[in-house]
Amino acid sequence: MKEQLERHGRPLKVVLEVMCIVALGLFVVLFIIPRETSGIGLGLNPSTVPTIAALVAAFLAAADGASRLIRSGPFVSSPLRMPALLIMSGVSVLTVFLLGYGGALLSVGVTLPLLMLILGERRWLRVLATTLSGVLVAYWMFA
Amino acid sequence: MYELWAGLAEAIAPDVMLFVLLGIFLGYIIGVLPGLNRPVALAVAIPLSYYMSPLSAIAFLVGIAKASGAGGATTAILLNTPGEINAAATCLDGYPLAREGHAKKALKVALYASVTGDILGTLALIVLAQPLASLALGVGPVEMTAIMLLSLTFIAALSGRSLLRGLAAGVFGVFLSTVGLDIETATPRMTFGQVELLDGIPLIAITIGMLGLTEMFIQAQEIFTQRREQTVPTITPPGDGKLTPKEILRIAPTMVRSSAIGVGVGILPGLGPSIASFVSYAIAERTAKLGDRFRRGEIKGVAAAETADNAAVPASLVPLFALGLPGSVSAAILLAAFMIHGITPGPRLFAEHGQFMYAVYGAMLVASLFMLLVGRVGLVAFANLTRVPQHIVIPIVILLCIVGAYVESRSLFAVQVTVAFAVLGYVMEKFDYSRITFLIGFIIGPLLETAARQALVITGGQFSKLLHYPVAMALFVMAIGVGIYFIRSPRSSPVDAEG
Repeated sequence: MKEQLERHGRPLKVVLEVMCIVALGLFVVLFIIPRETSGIGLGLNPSTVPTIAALVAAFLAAADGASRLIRSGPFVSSPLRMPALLIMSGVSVLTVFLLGYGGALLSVGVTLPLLMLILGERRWLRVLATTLSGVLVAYWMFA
Repeated sequence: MYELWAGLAEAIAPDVMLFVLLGIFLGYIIGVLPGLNRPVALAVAIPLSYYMSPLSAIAFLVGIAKASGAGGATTAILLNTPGEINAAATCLDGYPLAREGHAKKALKVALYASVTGDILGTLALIVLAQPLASLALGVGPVEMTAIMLLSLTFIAALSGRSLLRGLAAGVFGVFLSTVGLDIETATPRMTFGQVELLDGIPLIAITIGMLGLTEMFIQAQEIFTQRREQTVPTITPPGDGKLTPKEILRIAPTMVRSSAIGVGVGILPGLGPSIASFVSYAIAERTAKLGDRFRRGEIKGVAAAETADNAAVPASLVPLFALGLPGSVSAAILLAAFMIHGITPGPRLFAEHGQFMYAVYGAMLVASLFMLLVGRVGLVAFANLTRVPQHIVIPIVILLCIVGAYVESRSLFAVQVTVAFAVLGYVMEKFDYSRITFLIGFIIGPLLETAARQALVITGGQFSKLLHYPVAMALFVMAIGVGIYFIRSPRSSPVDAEG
């Protein structure tokens, strides 16, 4: 049963993936490139290369999706999960925020122990020692 | 001749030697630490090299690249877990040797083999790069475009499960490289009114984000799912370390043959140290003599894998120095480092920076000697680093990435780009789009655009005129042939074509 569900579910994911990429490619070619490039009537138009590149990238991704559907695979399920990305990118954004508003020492001093705790470190002496070392290195780098 | 001696003299200046030593030391540590690899190490180290002189910076980075490969063997032998994917073949015989109580001997063989491969690879680089660069001076834009397309196809084919997805990633990299001022008319392209984007998306930020930060996100994901870091690995005790002259003589032919394999594989774009080490191991196993104990603890197996792995690293710099084309992700990062310091690798490199290049060669040979010294002195000490848990390594590397991106430009914009590309890298990894091909596409993008534009002018945009360029035509046909071959025979797993 589970296998059947996967067989039906995975091609749908591929179709969605291809549709997203093609839509993004068209959006870039039809809206972003024309609005964000301007030629001066000399030589090759500056939009030519980015347009070709965007079209080719979208075409290749779509062709790959189509070939996977025709061959019924390989539908490789990635072990990577979005919650992990959200947690790690969230902490990274916090680091950038603290870097901008409080400087490197505060940024390192807050996010280093936070990351260690998130990753499962519970020994306070280790957390403290690593944080202190990190702050000292940051001080050395910026001093 | 003056340039040669002056360059070599520069290479043995105290400050350069100090940075080589530092690079080697850091490279060993990174190679031994679980979860870290050569590209991550180079990406994190680039901002540190920003404040060094060009020679010290390149020497420092080359030191890291060389020693991280050698360090990777330590965990392969002691834990049966390669510190780097390149050292995976070392596990096959290294770990059985350690289990039999010969861990120290296996570590010594790995060290000597690494140094031998590295020295022979460096010599091959010295011998081959300059003549190839001289030949490349006669290569026109049409041929250059063809060479770049062939390289990109090769790299795309070998760095993921699907050639089409690999190529899509590479072309996407080329697309993003067009952000900034147009190379011909200097009008802004896709800058969204941001002054910071006029020079293009910062290369260092992308490199750190895509390689360093993304890799740490992936490692963190593994911890979230497995919580495998909670157990401190038990390492095999060093045991017997005596390596007799007879044993050295027994592995010497294997080391010479594996060096040649490493050089041959390393020069080809897309193939990397991991492929070199597996090919070399397979050949060593196939040519085994009666009494050899391959896969059960054979020092020739360790020597074959490690020699080829380390010979491939300097050899992969041949296309970079001669043509300006990075054949691997490490070469791509080194290309970025060269460019930061105002030196553009390519056919004119030796004509314009001859003395500097001799100094780089000198520093690379010095690095080989330091590799032997540091590796020998710290043989057992480095082994203890395998105990450092990942929940300490990952936060430190993440902060090094972010702070490093900030140090390079002192601008929050670069840091934001780093984080954005880390997220993009993770998403690409999830959907199996090669980050390596993307990065190489991004780096060669401006070169490809320039060459393609010049080719268009030369041919007047007429396809039929391409027939006047037989070499270019042959290369285009080869690229198509490679494409068709890999589309018809997709692989079930990526080869990790980098290093």
